[in-house]
Amino acid sequence: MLLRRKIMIGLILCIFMFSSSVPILLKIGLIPQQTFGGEGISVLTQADADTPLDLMLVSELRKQDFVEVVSPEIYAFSVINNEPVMVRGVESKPFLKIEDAECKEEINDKFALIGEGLAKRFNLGINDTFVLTGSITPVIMELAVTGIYSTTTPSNDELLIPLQTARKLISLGDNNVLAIRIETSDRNELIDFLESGEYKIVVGDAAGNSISLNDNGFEEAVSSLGIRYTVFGKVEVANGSYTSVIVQKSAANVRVVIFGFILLEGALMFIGIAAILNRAVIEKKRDIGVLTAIGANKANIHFLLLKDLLKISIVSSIIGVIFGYIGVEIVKHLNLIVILGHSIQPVISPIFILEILVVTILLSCLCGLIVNESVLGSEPHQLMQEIDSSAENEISLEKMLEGFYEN
Amino acid sequence: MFMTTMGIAVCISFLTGTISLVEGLHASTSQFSNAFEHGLIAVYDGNVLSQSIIESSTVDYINCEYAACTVVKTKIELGNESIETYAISIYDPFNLLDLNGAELTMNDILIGKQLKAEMENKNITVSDGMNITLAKDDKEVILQVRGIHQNTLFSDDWIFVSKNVVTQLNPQMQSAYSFLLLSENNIDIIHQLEEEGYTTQSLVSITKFLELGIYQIENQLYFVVLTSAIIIILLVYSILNIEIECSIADIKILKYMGASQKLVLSIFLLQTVFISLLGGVIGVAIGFIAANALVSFTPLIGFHSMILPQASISSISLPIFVGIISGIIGGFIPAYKASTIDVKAEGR
Repeated sequence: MLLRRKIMIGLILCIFMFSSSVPILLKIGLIPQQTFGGEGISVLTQADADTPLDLMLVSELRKQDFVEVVSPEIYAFSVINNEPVMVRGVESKPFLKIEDAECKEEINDKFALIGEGLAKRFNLGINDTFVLTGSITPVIMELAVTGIYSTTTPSNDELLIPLQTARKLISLGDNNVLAIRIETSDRNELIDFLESGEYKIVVGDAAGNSISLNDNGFEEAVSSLGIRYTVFGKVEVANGSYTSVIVQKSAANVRVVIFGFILLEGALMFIGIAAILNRAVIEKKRDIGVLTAIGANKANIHFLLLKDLLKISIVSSIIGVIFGYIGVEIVKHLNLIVILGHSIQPVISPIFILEILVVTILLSCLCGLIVNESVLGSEPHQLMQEIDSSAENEISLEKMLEGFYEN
Repeated sequence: MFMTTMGIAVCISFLTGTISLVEGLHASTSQFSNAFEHGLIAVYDGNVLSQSIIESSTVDYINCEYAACTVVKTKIELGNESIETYAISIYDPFNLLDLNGAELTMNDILIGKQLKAEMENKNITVSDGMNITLAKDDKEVILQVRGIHQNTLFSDDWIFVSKNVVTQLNPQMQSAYSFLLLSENNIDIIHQLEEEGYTTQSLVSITKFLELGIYQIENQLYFVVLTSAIIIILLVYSILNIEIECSIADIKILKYMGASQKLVLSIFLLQTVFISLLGGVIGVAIGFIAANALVSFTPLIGFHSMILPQASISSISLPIFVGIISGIIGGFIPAYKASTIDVKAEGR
């Protein structure tokens, strides 16, 4: 073998770092989307502060054939035991159905249901009490846990309360809600229905795309400017419009940072692999010089190197991704990462594994061959003089020559 | 040497770029948070209001406007049935809560509208002047309804009573309160109470939710940065290793000229420290440029944000420190090996 096997350690480290951190970073970026949306769910939200959603629309939607489940919801971001907790005002039955969640306890009108994940984190059980404060209006209350539900979605880390109680936390008018989540068999028909009803509304989907119906988006732009330049005075937190913008902007800030991290991590992996292979090829200058001196041409040496690079990069990628997978699984099972009150459940998908393998192999071969090309630009006697080989290298050269003549 | 310096600079720029992005996220979150009101701050003992006890002597030394509330978990007896609720009495000497008469005399009671609806669901018509029995353990108090409370600060299924009633139901609260409410401007007093072990909680949580939530993200991002720092140390080590190995001919010449092992080692160590320091400084500059460029160009792919990458002691010193440490390790090992070469024996 022309290249030393120990360079695999460096490659494995680079691939491990990338394959373990990118799924976690991607999942962090997806949390807001999964929290407010969900797989196959359409989300209706109000277009501006002047036109709130009300339960009349919920009743209308429930009459439509293309609608399967309608869950009116109110989001109240709160803090319990000095940790952020997403409090959701809901009608318990449709919510549990849309989230495919189970609750063993009987649910009464004054329910306070907590997700299994949250219950474990806070060590809360049935009848345990906790203090809940208002989200955007000053409120203080004490609630007792009436049930624990479990689901595989991020809602497993949330607190569910009746719509009436949630309205108090955000000072919302009677019959109003903040969002309506809908499981529908035909999204286009839903949009047609809302458009024809002249509802001023925003419709979002699971991929995070949204369409604004019957709205010009002016208020969002004004609120955005307001937040950007409100540095000298306090903004009344009860202003729902500004609050909605702060949530959106904070989520956008997180997305930008995550994007930056992934890009910089990718660059670091690229530079890391390039530096390691650069070192590995330069270390073998003398051997390459000997091979050239005894008559090997560029193609022979490229072939020898490519063979090594393929072996090393395939083995390193597989080991690196396996370690990355183990790292991600540990994070997942121990619930090590909690973001915005939701524990992160990162997943390494087969496509991601395949992508890592292809990218690493291509990158390794490309970097190795480019360095080799520059090395081959020198005369054989120069290459043999430049590097002082150790006794270990001489043995490997002997083995390598055997391999060369076999080829 | 130029390529080595630039290689180190690129590695270091990763650290600076990521740290400045995280600190930018922190600063923008903090700016958002400070732009909003946090409302009143509740101070209580432990995690539950109805079990919290703050002695009245604590209230005596609080040198600011406050309201003191006493809460007891109780039951409204309705013949065969009962409804669980909370009875609260409020002492508001500075009119901080603008209660409009919710401070009650001995046997009066104000009922929340949600509680009234709950009672009506059980076919009990609530009217002014009607008698209601509150019970806790073996204690009972009979009170007269004076009206429906409109206060938005407390739960709509709570009832307002006088301090005397709370004390009858829970004698422990005779000279104590369950929780205090202070204005958010009394930062020093709030910190002092926190130091004494009391729990403090803003009555308006959204900004705190975002702040704490984003700080959770920051912790995870710093974890990614630190694990990446280990990879960076290995890369810088690897880069400097190549630089020193390429200088083995120079080391031999120095040894031929009679230079001692210590002299050779110190020359090459100084060289690696200089290269890693120079690479570190250039890397810090590239890191800030890269982070700012990333934030500036993300709107092109649909990400709009308000982050401004922040320069700070940690975003400058940590990457340079990592560079120098890995430079010393990366330079010392090959330089030491090279300095021990016996050139005389090689010559023979």
